[in-house]
Amino acid sequence: MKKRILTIFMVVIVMASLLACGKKDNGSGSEGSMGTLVIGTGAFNGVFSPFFYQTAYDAQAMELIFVSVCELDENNELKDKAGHIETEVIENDSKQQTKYTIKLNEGMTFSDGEAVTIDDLIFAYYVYCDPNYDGMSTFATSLDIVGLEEYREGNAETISGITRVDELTCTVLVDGVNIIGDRLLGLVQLVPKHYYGEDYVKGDLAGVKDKSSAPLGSGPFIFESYKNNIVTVKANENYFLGAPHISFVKYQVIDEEQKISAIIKGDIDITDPAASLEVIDELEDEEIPYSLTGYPGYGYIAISAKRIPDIKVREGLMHLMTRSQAIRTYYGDLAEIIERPMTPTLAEYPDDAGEYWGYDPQKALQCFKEAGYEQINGKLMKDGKQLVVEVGIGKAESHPSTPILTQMANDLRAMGGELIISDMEFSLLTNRVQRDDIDMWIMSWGNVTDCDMTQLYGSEYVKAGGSNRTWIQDAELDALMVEITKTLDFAERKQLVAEALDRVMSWATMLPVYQRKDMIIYNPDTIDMSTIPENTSTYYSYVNEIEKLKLK
Amino acid sequence: MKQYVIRRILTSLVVLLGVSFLIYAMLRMMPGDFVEQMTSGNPTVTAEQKEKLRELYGLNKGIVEGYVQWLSDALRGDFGVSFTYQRPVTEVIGSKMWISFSLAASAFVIELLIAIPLGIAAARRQYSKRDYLIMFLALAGISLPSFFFAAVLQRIFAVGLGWLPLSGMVSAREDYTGFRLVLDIAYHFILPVTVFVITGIGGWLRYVRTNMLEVLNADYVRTARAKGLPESKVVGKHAFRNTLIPIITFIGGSIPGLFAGAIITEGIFAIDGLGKTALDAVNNKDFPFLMTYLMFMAVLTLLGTLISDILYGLADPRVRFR
Repeated sequence: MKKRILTIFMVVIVMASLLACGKKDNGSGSEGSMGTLVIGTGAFNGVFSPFFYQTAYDAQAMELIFVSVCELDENNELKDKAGHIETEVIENDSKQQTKYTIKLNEGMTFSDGEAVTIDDLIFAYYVYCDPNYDGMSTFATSLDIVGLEEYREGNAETISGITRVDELTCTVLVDGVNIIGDRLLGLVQLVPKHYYGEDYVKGDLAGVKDKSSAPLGSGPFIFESYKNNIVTVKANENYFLGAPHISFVKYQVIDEEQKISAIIKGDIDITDPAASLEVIDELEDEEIPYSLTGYPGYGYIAISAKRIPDIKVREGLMHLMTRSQAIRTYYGDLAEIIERPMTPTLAEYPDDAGEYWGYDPQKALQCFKEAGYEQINGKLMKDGKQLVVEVGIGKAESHPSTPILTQMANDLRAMGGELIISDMEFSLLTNRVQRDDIDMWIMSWGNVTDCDMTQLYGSEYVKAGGSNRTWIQDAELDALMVEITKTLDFAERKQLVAEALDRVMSWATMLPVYQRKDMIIYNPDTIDMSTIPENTSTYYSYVNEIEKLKLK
Repeated sequence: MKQYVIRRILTSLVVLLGVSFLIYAMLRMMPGDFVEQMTSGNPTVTAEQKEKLRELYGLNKGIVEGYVQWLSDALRGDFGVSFTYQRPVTEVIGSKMWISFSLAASAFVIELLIAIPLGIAAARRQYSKRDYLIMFLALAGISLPSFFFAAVLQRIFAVGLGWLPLSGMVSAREDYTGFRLVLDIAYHFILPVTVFVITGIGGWLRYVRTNMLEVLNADYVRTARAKGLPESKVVGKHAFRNTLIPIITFIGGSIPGLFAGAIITEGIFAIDGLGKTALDAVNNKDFPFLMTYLMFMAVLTLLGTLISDILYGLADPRVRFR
């Protein structure tokens, strides 16, 4: 069969070139296409499962198929969507516990017509908590649900902390207080148990995985197909917030470099090119509307306290880094310099924090001398060894932070030290950082939605595989971070976060550099711009109100 | 002949066994693994979770132990499940290889249709203006970097003139089916095929020309001319037939390679082929996919040389298999 298609194809390719000219007046905005929104995205893996997806692009292709109990609003606060979640802290003989009550809206159905019930949500919790769960979700490791450990490690058949109350309500009991508990529970997507859980028994996720190529949910759109690098979803007439105006949404894979051209040409309607000064110029020339939102992460330069144990040396290095020139030149207004290692898209970020170390070669030299280094024959020496530091960076030729390193290398050389800039493939860099095999590195953190920093700077996370690769070991900081995750009062928490971040800075292991902007661009010829939410932000976009979006 | 083929296949199997161990060991020695790759940038994944994932993905075994396991599974036809696609690797390769093949094969046919007549034309007037022009174009094509050339073509024909689609495999806005769909795919393949043809044709041109030159200087051609045959007959019958021997051998040997995929061109044109997939697999450390893909390449290479050796014997009766 395939071979026959191939033969036809080879004959046809010649004919198609003749047809090509006649086809052009059939280009953008042709009749019958009014009902189709085309979104430009990256390559799919075809794993369209809320449990097992790995890439942002697979997730994007699913975002209209499923809804969750709650969603994030433009300010990164939890708000009701398909239900409501209530948090209650209870004191159980000197032990603190939190009880979450989740209630779903009435009258919702999955796209196959079956009613949405609380069993569907509970089923999703069980999949994430399954002892053999091998997806990338951190649901089970981030939340101390009562009875979870017995379920995962032992023979318990159920998780005792999860209780079904009625058809639409359940409660989840969690040990301690957790500021992100409501997010973890409320942002889980509703999946039909009768479909995904058909053959599910504890420990066997094969049946759930089998459904990865045909997702089924209760969202505004229904999965139709994935072929020829295009994912097609069609409107769900029974969507609980109202039927969408658009009949089809298609996700078309497109190369990063072609995104703007494809919008200009009218092939796609919405896409997200990497924001740069050049791109902005092009968009303004072509009068293409765009939204800029803060990327929920930040770029940083890290120093390993394990490899450079002398804090004075680290301080000296900190004084040799100057950021604003490099970032301004590269990004203009598309990024801002940040002063504390946390994404400013979080409300807890200390907006009034000033520069902690500051660029000052004199002070740097002073620090190195305090650390015991002496300038001998123009070389910074201690115990017969020159001060040599290796810094790792991925794709140095196009990295915004490269000028910081070249400046630093020059200054250090002038003092008699040496900075070795190692430009390497990203996975190699990751690997060396993980093995504590490099002194300094440049990387970024992404997809941050909460201010829990325990795993980044907590003493116990220095072990192999942990995220604290800068080797901050600070008992007071540990206590402070635990305190943060238990402080439900916002003002109080913000104060604690500011204190904790100052302490992190004092270790001279983390230099936050910049937070950049993400960009969404829209095709003004096809999209009714008045239906794009005005409050588009990092956490809220047209996706959240897709049912209201109209084409021209 | 039969005996020869059987012996060749048996030696190929031994070679494959050695190759499979080498590939396995090299892939396992790559720094980092799938779990590290997928969890990098995500601070909330704990060390325990990573360890658990490694266990579930079978990444915690030693090289020899892992290889024996892989081999015994592979011999039973089980090549594992791709980490990234979460489907059996054979299924992933099977679905994507036809896309790569149809692209490469169309380009291949066009290349031959152009390269053979032009190569002969160049050889017939060696060092003439025509010869220089053809060879200049051939070298220019070889030297063009595909990513650059593709971008230029896209600028001119898709963005500038609007004649051809920018990228992708079908028009997303339309819902073509049946023959219209086939036409639509062909329409989207014009630019990538052009890139293949222009950058790939030079090699063939030079090969045809060199072989033709060699034949044209042979004694039997001089004899044919001496007995007063018209030039068209000398070239068309005596010379060309003999040139065909090495060309057919070369063509036969190239056919398996058409399945391999084109890394850069497929990426630029957003085509869901095997080349782009293999590159992504390297970046994602998708071990089962890479292992099977590289074994597939090894089989194709061995098959290519085997086919060309057999064809050589068929096209040239002077060659005897032993």
